[in-house]
Amino acid sequence: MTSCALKNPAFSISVTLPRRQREQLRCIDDIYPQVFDAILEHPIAKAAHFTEENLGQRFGVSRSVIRLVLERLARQQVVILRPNHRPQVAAPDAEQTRQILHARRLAETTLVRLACQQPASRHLPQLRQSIERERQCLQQNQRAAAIRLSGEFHLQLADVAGNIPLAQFLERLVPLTSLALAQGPAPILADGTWQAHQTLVEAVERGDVQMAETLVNRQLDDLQGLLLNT
Amino acid sequence: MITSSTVVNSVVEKLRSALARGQWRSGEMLPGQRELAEQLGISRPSLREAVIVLETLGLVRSMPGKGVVVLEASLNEAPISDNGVASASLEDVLQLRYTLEPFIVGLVAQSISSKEIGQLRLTLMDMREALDANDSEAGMNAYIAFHEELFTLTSNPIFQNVVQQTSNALKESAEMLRNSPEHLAERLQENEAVVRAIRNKNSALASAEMRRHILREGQRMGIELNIPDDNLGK
Repeated sequence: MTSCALKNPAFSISVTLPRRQREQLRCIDDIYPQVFDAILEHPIAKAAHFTEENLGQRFGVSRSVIRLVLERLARQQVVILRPNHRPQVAAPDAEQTRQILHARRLAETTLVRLACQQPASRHLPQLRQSIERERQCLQQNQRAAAIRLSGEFHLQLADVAGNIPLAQFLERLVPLTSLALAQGPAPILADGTWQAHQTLVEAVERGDVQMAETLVNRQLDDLQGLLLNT
Repeated sequence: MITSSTVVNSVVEKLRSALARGQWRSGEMLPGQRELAEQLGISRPSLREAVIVLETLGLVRSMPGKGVVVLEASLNEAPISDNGVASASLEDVLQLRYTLEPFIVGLVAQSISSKEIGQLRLTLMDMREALDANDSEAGMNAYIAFHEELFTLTSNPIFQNVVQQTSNALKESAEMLRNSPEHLAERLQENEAVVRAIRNKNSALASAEMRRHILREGQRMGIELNIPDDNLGK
């Protein structure tokens, strides 16, 4: 299951879409994480290799699928698209990273509070699955995927909250945070991130607003420490 | 910087408002892709993506081999797409505004120039004029313009996203604003209080006034916002 906030509503699969389009959209959902992981593995991709054509060949899909994947990444601010230019990977500097984290704190404090008030049973299995995937990736030393999944956890939690515009706002911040993490000297991920996510899910399950807010803030503190040494 | 996604967004907005104006009625076909793309001055892939967005919003449906047919859409109802994802409710929008706008005005208060204060006050004057003329449409536009002006003043590029997000959110509640002209005077007063605090470079007060305004906005709509207790007293 992919989280709703991860997909732009434009890409949500709707049963009314013609089959060909539906398949294309499903394809985008498959290819998107692969392209994002490739970016996270080599954040400063050599511009020459980062073209629709090369990406299409590498992942065995058409250029139009790649274009839509890049559009989604552009919406998430991870990739910068300009007419007549090659796609460019964003490189948030320290000041931008500070702003991103600040914005996340505003949005996520509200979102986690809303999530605590939702009936637990419906969404939590998905969150647990996501944490499990994150753990497995770390175990297999797939750092890029672990960084991506760790971000996606926050977006899935945002979906649980049920405030679509706020979740969409967060969608423009979390992937950028992943990018900033990957662009560090060595790809970094705080040890115990998935454990922290697990504790957070438990707090949300209990509806313990205060604890959940504290945990979210602590995670953002950790990210700030990793990214800004503060 | 113009990215393709902003192109798509602006085309979606254009088509949405054309549909809302009734340029095409339900059951009618949109012009052909080539023609429409030319009219809008965009590429066909961008147009296609915009059409997918409109489909998701339940405004049109693509008929393979035939074209794009306009569906019946009620402006007053939040469109619900077939996969069950409802579009943002007024409550969601207010919650978003409550989360972000107080912070935005706080930032603006720290960095605003006197010329920019002048611009802000102009939109307030538009609101006052609309109030005097009893023109609810102009009042709504001025209210939205005030908030957009405010967001534009944020020098923080990350919050430029909020600008887009919040203006869209505001426009979503436009219908409600139009339908409650009796509240325009209160909105104006509350927004004037925000600007006064900004003018005095009082960041904390500007945030507090904006929080108050959005809470009042909620009360006027009969929506109780979910906010932390410790913010109530501020």
